[in-house]
Amino acid sequence: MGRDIRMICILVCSPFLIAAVHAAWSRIDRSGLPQTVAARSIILGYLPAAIILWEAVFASAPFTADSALAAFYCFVVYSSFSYAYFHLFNMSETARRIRIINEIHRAGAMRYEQLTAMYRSRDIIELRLNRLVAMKELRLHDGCYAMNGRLLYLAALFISRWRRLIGFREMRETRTGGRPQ
Amino acid sequence: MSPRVFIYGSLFFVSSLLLHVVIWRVRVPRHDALGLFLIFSVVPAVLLATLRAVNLAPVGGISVAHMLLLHAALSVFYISSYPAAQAISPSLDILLLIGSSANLRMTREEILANYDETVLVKARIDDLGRSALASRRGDTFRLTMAGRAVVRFFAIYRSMLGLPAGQG
Repeated sequence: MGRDIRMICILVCSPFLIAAVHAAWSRIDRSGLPQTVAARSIILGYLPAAIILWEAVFASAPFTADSALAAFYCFVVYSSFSYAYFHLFNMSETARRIRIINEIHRAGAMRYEQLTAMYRSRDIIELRLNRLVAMKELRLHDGCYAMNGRLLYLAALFISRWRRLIGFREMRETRTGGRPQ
Repeated sequence: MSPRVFIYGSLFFVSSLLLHVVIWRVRVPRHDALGLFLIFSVVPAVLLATLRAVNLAPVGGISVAHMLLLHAALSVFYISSYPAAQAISPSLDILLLIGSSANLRMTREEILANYDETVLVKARIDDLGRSALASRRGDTFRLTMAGRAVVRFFAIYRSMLGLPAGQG
């Protein structure tokens, strides 16, 4: 098997490597928030991925500009898959839709009113406030929540602008279901 | 590796992204996840065929495989972020609320006052009614085969991680 084919196979399989590292690390590191553990696992996953790629692809050839470009390629592809993996995990942890289909699965069938009664905006917001404080994105002081980190806030600003660019309604309208604030 | 891999791979991705923006601005498809998947799958195939027709296609099966893998990686990067924009992530929305408040600080009650009591879950239930995961007959929701498969997938995935079901 050629080097290029080995590289493609390793990169295509890399999400399974990330999942394996995550499965191992989440049994070792039980102190943090699940998202923090997932993020740490993803960072740790770069090490075995780099070792496997080095052994299978890069070690057998001299290091040239082409190899540098190939290494950068591996970094971009692996990082993109890692980022998508984090979202997959986050979906399993925080997605309202996944929780709703779990509840319907458990009950067999559910009526609209049962679903809205089971899961109120207040519960959703309180859960997220606690998570944001645990992730140190917010800090709670004297009963007030204030910004602590900037990274997620900048992501929120970017996503809000992107949302408008692709033609979705303003967030404010969606928050209240169209009712004026 | 040739720099062409990056040029063509990025070209496939950017073209798909542009087409997605144009279509979404005209009208968001009813099954938007399926629409995204189709756009990001079909555009590189059409571009490759077009480039081949005008003799500008990249040469070599391996180079094309590298380009398509780069496109696939960038596409899953984007598609995995899309739900946060499509459905409004409450966590990101809370940050925006606090970031736009007068003193950059808000109490729990001030934050909660911005949300209709059921809006956050209603939006997701309505999405579910439109998706392939559940079928709605009258007022009652049941999971489809795809919905049951997703439940099973996440149950196996979470048990593989040694975690209970997520809290939503």
